Amino acid sequence: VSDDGGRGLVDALVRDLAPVRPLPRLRVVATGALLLWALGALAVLAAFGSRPGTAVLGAGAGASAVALGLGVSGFAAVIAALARSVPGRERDAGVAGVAAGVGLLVALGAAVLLAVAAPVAAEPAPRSADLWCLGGALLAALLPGALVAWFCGRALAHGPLAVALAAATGAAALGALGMLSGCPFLDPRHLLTGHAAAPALGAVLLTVPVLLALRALRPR
Amino acid sequence: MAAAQAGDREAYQRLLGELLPFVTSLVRGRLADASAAQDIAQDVLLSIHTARHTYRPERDLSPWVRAIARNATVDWQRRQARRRRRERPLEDHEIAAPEPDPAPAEELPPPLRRALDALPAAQREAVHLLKVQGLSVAEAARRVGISPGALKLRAHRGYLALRSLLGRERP
Repeated sequence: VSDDGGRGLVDALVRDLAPVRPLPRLRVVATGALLLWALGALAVLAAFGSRPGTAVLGAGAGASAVALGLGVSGFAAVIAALARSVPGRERDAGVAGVAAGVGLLVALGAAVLLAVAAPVAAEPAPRSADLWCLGGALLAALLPGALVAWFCGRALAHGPLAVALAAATGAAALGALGMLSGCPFLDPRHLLTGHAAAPALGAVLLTVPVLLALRALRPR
Repeated sequence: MAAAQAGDREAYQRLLGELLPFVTSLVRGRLADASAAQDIAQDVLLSIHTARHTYRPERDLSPWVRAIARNATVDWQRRQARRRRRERPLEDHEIAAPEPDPAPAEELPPPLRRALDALPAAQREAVHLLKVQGLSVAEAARRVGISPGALKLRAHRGYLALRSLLGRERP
């Protein structure tokens, strides 16, 4: 009976067969996400009257570590989300997930250490700068986040919550790095609350929309 | 698989025919329950069908199929664990008399009855509850003791198999 059921299912699936185009390679989508991130970050910085630069790298080892951590965690989390959506790429997803976690720890750890070691800056950033930078990071995260959500939704995301969390966190980390590259305020408190905290905020605010997108785009 | 992605039905038939026993043995390696393994193997074939565009022709097919089979088995085990946590055995006095069946299977047209009988028990039950007894998905799922999504999947597989079996009977 079960053999009949299996053969019947095979026959039905064969009758239902229609040509499909394979999904693009992961590296192509990852490159696309980086391009969209660069475009989005440039647009947001321009809208805020700023330009990207490398001032953060000259602001000391701590600030550089925050930037490096954001970059590594953002890129690796995006790769983890993409790889976890393609059957057979779980090992890549695991490696990228670990790298994303390490990157986040580096960014947050460096920002916390800086804030603890030098709590009062000579020229502290205004509180409103935190909101601007966090908001800008989320805006800059939208384009790469949308591309990653589209790919993961069209693929076969196993554990959609983990995929959505990785995509949201990664896109927000990349957005935060974009904002950091044009931020005129590099005092320790602002590095922590305006930039290093962005991935966590992105995880809270963007995971559910990405999850809904994954469900809406899921192949049927 | 690449030929199947391009729409070659013969290649797809051969591929699925070879994959079914392979997938069943993969799942059997992880589960002691043979009937559940056959159900999951059919779930895996459905997943392969709906996600065939996620296979990249330049990569090996085996890791792709193994990952889909592993994920389906893990999902099934999680569902079973949730179900065991949620349910408790009924006491004798809690078991109600069975409700009268509004459309006994004997009243179905003979070809449909034969096709229904040929389905695996789980699929037959899902189709019977939804289409013969006319229960809602939620009610049928409650009666079987599984989630509405799982019931819909079983019924969907049943419909596909029924369509195939009835097509075979047509002169």
